[in-house]
Amino acid sequence: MRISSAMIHDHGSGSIVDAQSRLYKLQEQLSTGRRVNSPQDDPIAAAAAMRVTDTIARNDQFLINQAAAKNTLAFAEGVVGDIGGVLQSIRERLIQAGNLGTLTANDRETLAQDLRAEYDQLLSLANARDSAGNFLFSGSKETTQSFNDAPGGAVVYNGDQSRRTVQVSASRALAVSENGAELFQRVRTGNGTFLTGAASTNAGTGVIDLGTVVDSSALTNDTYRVVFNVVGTTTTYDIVDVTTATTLSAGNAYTSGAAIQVAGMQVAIEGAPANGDTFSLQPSPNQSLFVSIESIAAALQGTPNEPDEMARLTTLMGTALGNIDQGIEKALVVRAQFGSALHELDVMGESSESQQVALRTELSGLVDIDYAKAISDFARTQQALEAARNSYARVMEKSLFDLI
Amino acid sequence: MGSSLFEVGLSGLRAAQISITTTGHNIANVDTPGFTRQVSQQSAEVSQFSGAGFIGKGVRTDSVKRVYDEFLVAQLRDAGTREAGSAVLSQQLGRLSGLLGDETTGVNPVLTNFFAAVNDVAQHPNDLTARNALLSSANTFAVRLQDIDGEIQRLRGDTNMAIDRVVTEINTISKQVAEINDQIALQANSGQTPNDLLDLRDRLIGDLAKNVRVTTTSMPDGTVNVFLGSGQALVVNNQSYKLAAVNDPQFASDRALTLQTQSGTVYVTPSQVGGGELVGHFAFRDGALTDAQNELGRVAQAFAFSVNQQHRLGTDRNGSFGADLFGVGAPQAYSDGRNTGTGAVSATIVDATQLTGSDYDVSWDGTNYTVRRTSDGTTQTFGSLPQTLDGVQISIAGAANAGDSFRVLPTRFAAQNFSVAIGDPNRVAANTPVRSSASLANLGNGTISAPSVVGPTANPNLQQPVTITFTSATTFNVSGTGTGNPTGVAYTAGGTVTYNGWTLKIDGSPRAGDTFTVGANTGGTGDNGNAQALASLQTSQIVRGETLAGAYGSLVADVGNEAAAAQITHLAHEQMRSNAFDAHQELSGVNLDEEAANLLRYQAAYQAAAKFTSIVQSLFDEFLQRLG
Repeated sequence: MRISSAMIHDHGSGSIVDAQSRLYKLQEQLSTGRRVNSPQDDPIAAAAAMRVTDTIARNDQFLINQAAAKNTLAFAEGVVGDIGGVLQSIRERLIQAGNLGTLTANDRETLAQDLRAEYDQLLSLANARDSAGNFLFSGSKETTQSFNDAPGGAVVYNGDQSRRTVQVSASRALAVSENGAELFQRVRTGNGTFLTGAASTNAGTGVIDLGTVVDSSALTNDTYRVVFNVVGTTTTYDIVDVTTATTLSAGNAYTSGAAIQVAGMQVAIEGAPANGDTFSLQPSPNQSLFVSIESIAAALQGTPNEPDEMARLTTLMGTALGNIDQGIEKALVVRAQFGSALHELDVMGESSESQQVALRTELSGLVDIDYAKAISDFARTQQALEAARNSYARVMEKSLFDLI
Repeated sequence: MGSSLFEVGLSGLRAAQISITTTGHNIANVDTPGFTRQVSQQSAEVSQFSGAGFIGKGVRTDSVKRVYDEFLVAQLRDAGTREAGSAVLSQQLGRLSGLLGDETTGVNPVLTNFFAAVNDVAQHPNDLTARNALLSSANTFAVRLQDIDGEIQRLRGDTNMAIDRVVTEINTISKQVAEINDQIALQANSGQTPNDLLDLRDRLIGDLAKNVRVTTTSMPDGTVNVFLGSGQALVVNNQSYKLAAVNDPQFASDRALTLQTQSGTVYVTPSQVGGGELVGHFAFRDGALTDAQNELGRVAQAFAFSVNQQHRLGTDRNGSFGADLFGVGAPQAYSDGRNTGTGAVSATIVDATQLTGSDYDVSWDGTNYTVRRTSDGTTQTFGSLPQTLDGVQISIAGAANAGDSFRVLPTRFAAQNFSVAIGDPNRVAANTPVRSSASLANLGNGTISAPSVVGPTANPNLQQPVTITFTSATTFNVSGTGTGNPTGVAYTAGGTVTYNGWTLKIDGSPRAGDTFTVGANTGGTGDNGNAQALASLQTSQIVRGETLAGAYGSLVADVGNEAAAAQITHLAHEQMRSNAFDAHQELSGVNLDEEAANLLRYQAAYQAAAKFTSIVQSLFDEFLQRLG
């Protein structure tokens, strides 16, 4: 093969430039720590890196959301816990009152005052604000004060029935709040299913308890009444469906404290009802906790010390205790919801974190350099460059012209 | 007899001198590009007949020839065409790939930031700081889109300028080739080849071949005719034909090519030009560059379309329905500069999630409109316009004449004119416009979920108060404007209830008489329903089956792939050119050592001839002295 002088020069300088360009590339990789510095370097890895980075960014967002949700939930859980505490203390007051017969009018006055103090505390908790100054229990109307006080416990709820949610994963929007209507107003009365009561005209000393459900399938929407007939020493009662105006049974023999069953409900009436005394059973409506507290406080204050009034007050106390128990139950349920949401967040957080670690490892594998390999490549290329330089210099060093 | 002795000596001296000069010429031109080494060709002078037979009369130099192979030169030229074309493509694709960024730069990081800000608003819908941050990250996103588009646009401008430059160079060279042809033809009668002129012409044609693919035809008079790849003449004899870069009749901001011919000026397509730098520039501009700009625009369109659509379904802090959050460049349509009718085509986006990122050519043949998708060449024929395809509605106003054509660019300018349309943070629509509630008087334990709004546009009766009253445990009546007040609707626990553009679920066991209401979410500024819906667009497949980040990622990957492929192609072409260069050099290149050896050889010949002449001289001297 014939070689021209231009070929010698071109090949010699070409291989030097080649080695230099490889060296430059390796140096860039070493100094940035990245194997892929432009999508052109490795389009497939670059595309995968973009997908992984996007997923990491989204997971980061979810982690931020999770942290925010946790803070909100922890705060709300604390407040709901306080609400439960206030309700518990009201419950204790009511139980403390115990046998009403032993209480003086003054004792009852004091009790009423205590209940009103608890009422105020509950109202202030109901108007709690979060760290951003927004009302916790106003639903989505978070800038509006949740509750306004009004006489007779007719507290007005200004919020709506929404719950705030936080997107904590691609497929999960977690509720992180409860609205005031749900917590304070949507509270069943009585035993939570039906409500018992004594007519205000009752002259006897009959006291009805909260009752229990014995057959939930027999429950109806109707209101029932137990009507007493006292003839001489014989006390009997009739059971009337008020809604349909039908007498279900008549002349039942009455024993104090014996169970009376009607439409799946069972109650016990104690004491000595007078002729014409009536007791009612109806499906529990919702009642604001504030109404429940205020009404028992008012009853404690306003009831004269007479046996029939005391009997009615005893029934009312029982009902109030039931109402408060329902409130405590509600607070517990809401707290449990928050608690399970927090737990869910903990579990989710752990898996998100470990997912992030895996994704970051994957990303690093895609675009970062293997230092050991890059350094040995660098050394080898440097050697190649040295060889190219030396050999070129040698080839160009001598010529026939030197000898003539 | 005496004079012939001198003649013989002198012929040797002359021949050696020519050889030495030729060698010197070779040595002098060792670094001249395109130089072909020359050798002198000698033959013995015709001998003279005498009684003693034929007596030699010395040597003569017939000619100085180039050591030349036309095939090798053509091969080198073709390799040069390929190499130059792929060099342009590789270099420009590398620039494009660089400016589109990777996972840490480009559009995706700012897109992530935008959705982070949306999420933040979802956390704190009433927080003006979060709302401001959303608008500022929206601005950052808009600026990034504009910046990248600006860079692409700059590359487009550079490419069009490069086309102008290359065309000028081609014209200069073809003019020079024609001039050299003229000079060569003048010397055609001498019977000798003007070696250095031929070298110069070969070199010029080689330079020309870097710009465009050329073929040549040698004529008997020594001239060479040069043709473009497809056969149009660039140089015929001493006449060169001008190539020109003119405004593209289909899209005036780009350059197109025309060629002067004997029958007038005609448009030539890049494929007719065939190869070289010129085609490299066209291939880059009309391929990856246009695709990238359209694709970026497509992401912008889909983003603006989906975000705006969702934003309009929510209510802002003032309780008003959201306005468009982003403005985006509208589709553009151009009439071909050669149209004879008055028809003007226009285009609007109907559904940005269906866009393809392609341009469309619309042509009218007098009976039908043919719409051609330029990305894959598929065509559809319509008897009339407007028509909608790939999410774009194409309309025409005025009357087109048969043969008229139009170009529609649905997404090209979307990123360039991408903007944030809202400045007041209060106007970010984070709230769901409707809320639901269950009456506190309900005896059953039925629950109602928060309503969500059904798109794509808000129902005019969306916020009308609606009451759902259960008439039994399994049926309910609905009353409210827009619902049609249906009665006795069957209830399924957990089933969806949809009226007036909202949908929600009622669950549990309601009792007869229970009521649920849905109405305007007045004052519900803490609601984050719409902010969450906006945030969920990050993971929604709103760009023809891809997410926003996915679509941009595909763009980056596509360009990266093309750039990597072009780089490999360029390396291969470089190698091919290097091989062709070697083959050519192997034959025609100057080797200095070889020339040095030749020099020694011709020196010896010269010295011998000189000595011969001097001996002849002394012979004569002796003869004359003897005479004297």
